[in-house]
Amino acid sequence: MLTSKCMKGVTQGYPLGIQAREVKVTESEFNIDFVSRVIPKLDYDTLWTAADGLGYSTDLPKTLVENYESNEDFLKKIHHVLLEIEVLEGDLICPETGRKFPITSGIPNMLLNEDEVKY
Amino acid sequence: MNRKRGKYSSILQKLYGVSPSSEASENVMVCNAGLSLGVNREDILQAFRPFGKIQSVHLVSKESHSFVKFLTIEHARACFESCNGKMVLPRMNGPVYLLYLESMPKIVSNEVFKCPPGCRIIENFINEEEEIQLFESVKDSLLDGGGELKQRKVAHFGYEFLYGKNNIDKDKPLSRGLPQECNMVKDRLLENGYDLKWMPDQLTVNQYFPGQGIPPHVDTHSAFEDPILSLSLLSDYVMEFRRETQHWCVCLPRRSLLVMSGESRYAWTHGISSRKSDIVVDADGCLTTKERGTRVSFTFRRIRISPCDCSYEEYCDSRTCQPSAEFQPIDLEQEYVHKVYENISDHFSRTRHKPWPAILDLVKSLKPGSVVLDVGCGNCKYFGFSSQTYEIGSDHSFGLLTISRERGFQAVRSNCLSLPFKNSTVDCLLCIAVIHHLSSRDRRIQSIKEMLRVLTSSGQALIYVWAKDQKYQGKASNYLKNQSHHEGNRLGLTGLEKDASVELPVHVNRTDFSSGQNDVFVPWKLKLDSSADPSSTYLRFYHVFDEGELENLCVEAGAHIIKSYYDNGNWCCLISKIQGGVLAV
Repeated sequence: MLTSKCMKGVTQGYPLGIQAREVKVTESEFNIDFVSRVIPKLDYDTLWTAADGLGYSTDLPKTLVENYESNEDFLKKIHHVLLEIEVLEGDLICPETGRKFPITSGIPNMLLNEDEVKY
Repeated sequence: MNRKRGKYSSILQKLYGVSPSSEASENVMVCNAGLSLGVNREDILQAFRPFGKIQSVHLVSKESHSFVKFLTIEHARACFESCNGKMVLPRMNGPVYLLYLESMPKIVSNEVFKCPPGCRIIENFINEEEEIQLFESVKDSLLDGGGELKQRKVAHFGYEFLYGKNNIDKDKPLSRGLPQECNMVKDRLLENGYDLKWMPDQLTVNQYFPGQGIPPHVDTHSAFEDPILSLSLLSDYVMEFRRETQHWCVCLPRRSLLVMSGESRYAWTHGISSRKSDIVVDADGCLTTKERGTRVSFTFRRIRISPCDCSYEEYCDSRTCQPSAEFQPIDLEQEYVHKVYENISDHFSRTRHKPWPAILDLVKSLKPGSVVLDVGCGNCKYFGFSSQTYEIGSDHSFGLLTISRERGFQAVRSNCLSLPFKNSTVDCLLCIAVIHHLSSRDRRIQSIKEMLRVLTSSGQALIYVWAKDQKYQGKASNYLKNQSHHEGNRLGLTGLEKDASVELPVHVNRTDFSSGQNDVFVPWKLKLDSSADPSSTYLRFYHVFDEGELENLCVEAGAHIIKSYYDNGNWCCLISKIQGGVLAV
């Protein structure tokens, strides 16, 4: 969902590229109902590309499977990439300008300099 | 009893180097009643005064004990014998425990009855007949202050005093001049040895009913000449003066004239506490309480034509930019919002754990799979109540975001004017106590536009901002009610570094904003883990909101207002997008 579109000269700013230096894999409780309801909110291609960039796309189908609501195996994979993989250190990269947004301790810094903002 | 005596003796010895006395003495320690227990000076005075005359009451910030000095040993003994182990003070569970002391501890009393430098009281400045004539001359003009002033009745003569700006409009004199009855002021002052160089051309009359007051303020330097004159009619009131850590009380007797000049006019705030009685000094030099009647004050001022040339530059608006007009919004937010939250993030987070019920209700009512964004999330205190929503926090403070991460929430560092999210992605947006930190109206509108941009068509955003009016429909907010627990904050500011290029009033914590201007600095008193460390105070910029102001901003930003309400000192709006002229539901 993150974008750099608030930057001057950037129209979409989406999707941001991702470069990870340190990735942490955690475990969290799988909530089937939640995951199936959150999928329509996601841009699946972007999620896949991000997972691929981090090296976690092997199990993940490239396109959204049909009738995923009843596909527990698939939902578990989404749960894993969405909620259990965290980039602790790395960069998010604006696709239009190449501007890097550093991720420190798991927190992306999306602050813009005064001369970069549109408003 | 002996065990208690031992315990309190050692406290006394350790903190003040004073020993208890086995003989009666005029100095008495009240071992188990003090500020930290919510007991105030008046409670102690009311309880003990019937038994003996009291010269002074000493309360110590953050302590659970206090000290009373009686006029004589006999007065002390009478009180001691009647009260020790028997008298129960308000807000206390058990009776008071008293000790005689060999001497009074050397502690600075936080309320001192004396005039600040440059301040003078001329008693009986007018006689009773003149008092009636003066009141008669204005009483039909006194009107409710309306939106700006919920507290007292006011009337202006010569020029209108504009409370929003704390100034007058020099180009718009009122058709109504000062009442004739006031003409004697200049000559009468000369008779009292004070040579006033001009005739007053502006008069503000205030009527205070018991329980009403006026928040601490300094009269705007560039607006008025020196001195400021205030004539008190109909009832004695105590006025409180503050400069940095000093807090002095001055009794303004009925029919007296207060002359504030020099340091007292330029560098001290003056105000009247909202209460129904005052602590005053009686003829024996002893403290007593006095019920307030209705006071009418005549404040005489002279409009200043040229810029102020006082020698208190740090308090002077003529030396710096005009308030809220020319300062750089971004720098102000950087210096007085972002930097401050970075510095206080740990302490701030420790004080922010209780979610507001109305906001929690909204969070809990969301549909499963909803995307929730908290803009200005702080420590994410509204997250984790539902396992069915996707929660993202955004804040400017790295310190607070780190705390949010440690609590297990997703957090992104960003500015609320440029949210790093795609259009139409958020189902529920919270923005609690954030946009009152933005320093211009345009920026506040921009922040709301930005919220609408990221909301889905059916999404809702809930905005809370601090209200200027901390009392609504007769009810004081928790912010005001917590007063007694924050006594330390009210004593003044220490260690403040204020950039000389920004001149805004500094708000006194736990008081009302209602007669001040909307752009203010609010101190945050940092309490560090180790009690040995000195606390330091940071100033945060706030724009406090008038009634209806938030709704106007939302409408101007293009929002549809679902509902708006007042919640405990905050104005609140629940808004949604308007799509193609059709209201989103």
